[in-house]
Amino acid sequence: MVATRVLDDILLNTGVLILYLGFVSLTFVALLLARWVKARGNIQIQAALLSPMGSLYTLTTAFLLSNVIFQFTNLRGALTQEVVTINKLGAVMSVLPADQRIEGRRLLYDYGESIARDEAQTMRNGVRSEVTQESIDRLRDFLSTRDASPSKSIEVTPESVNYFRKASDFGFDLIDARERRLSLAAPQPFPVRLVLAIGVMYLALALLSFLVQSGAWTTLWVAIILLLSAPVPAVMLFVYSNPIASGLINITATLEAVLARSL
Amino acid sequence: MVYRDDRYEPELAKRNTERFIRSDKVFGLFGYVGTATVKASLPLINQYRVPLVAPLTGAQLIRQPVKPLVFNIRASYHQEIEATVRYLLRYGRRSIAVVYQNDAFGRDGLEGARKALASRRLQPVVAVTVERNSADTLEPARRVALARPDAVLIVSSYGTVASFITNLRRQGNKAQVMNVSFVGSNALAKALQPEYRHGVGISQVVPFPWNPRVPVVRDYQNTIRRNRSDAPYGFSSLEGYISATMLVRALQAAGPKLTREGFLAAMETMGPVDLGGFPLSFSAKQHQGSDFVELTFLVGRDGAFIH
Repeated sequence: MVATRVLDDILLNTGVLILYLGFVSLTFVALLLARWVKARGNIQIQAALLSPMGSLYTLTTAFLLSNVIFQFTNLRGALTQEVVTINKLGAVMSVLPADQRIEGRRLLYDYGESIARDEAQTMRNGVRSEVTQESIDRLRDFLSTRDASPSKSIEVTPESVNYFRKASDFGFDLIDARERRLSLAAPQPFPVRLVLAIGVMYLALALLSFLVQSGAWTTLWVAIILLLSAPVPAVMLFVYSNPIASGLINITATLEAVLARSL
Repeated sequence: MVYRDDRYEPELAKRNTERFIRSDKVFGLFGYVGTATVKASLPLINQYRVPLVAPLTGAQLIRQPVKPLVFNIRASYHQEIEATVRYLLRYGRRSIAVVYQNDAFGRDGLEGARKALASRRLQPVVAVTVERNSADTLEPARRVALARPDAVLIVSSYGTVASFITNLRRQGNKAQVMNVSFVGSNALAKALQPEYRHGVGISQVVPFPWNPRVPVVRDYQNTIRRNRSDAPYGFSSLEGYISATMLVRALQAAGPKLTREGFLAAMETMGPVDLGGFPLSFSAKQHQGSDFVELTFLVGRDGAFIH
């Protein structure tokens, strides 16, 4: 278990480099294999075969990628929802009396700040932050007290009506949004099988490309073109599987945008 | 209008006042910044009977007893500190330390804190001084950290406060820090390093400058946009705007044949004035126009404010 976790950590931190090295190795293997096949005798393979092979490669990798991109989109949506909830709650608190309003907003923005500073870092390892947990507990405590209620003599306005209707939901909305973000952002183990599938298809595509070409200069450029383009789906698969660790989603920057607004 | 920078130094303020009155022959004085600077200028103000309007200080010494020539727009430090102490105690922060500047301003703040706490049968857990315009705050921060307060009330200006907060946080102390409005909110936000900005509290004596729902704030924002669109909104500039608006109203009320005595009488008799969500009221016995106090906090690394 520990060995698997260590391996996962290493792969998460250096995955892109490892993938490219892997594809370089596969290209080399394909090249050697093609030379061996050509050396064994005259082989006539039509270049036209490259087109359907390429299409097969594209469709397969697109199918594999669609799943992880869907998850990435869900995570992005969860983070956006969390930010929207924080904004909404901060805004509707304007109906509260001064001391209560400022305390409510202070606790809310403390929570936002703790996500930006603490949980954004701990999430990279799939761990929730205790500082953030304390922050949301304090906020929930506040929202469950009479301090979160406007005064009885408050004027009836769309804002105060909105607050009465929705205030009880906001606390739960925040918790839901956080749990969704944490569960969607949990680091995934290295997708070995999927990368292997892409690797096998790449090997076939590379072998075919080398078999239909001749000449050292042409072969070199075929190899370069393959290495530039073909590993991209595998890299994308890896990056989108772990959008937090790979930096695709920057939680700190997203929350800082909320905290940068004077309210 | 003639203006000079006294660099928050009482002696320089006194010399400036002398030049304003004797050389520039001004009608009145406006917007003096700081307790010690106003205190140093008071003898000349009284000698030449020159009105002083909207000094940027909440000190008791220019409020009690009423100074006939001085008209304060803003609430007093005692009122600010009362609001701050009330808020801190309401939310369970009973152990409060006071850090105060070693001059009339700081001592006035300490007096206000002692009064607010004594009314609740409490006292500061520790009271520590810092020097005006000084960044030498390591020892004061250490003494406060040792006392382990829930909150620290600081009565000083932004440079000293920023240095103190930095030293306090570096010692691992996470007490809630509160300041009075004189600290200079925007200046404090800039002076603090980003990692120490979040959560610093400041009491204010003018409405929130980013809230256009308050009519005087909307007017203020429109004026900035019309005249100088790159100037940031801020509490100090809003206070200047409100004070200047009040001054203009008083000058208009004093009539075309303007005299100092006529102006003083107009200020005392013009009755309640609402500048747009910010009411002011002066009388012969009350030379403080507003009792408005509101708490704000810095949030995030960019130093935005919430209220």
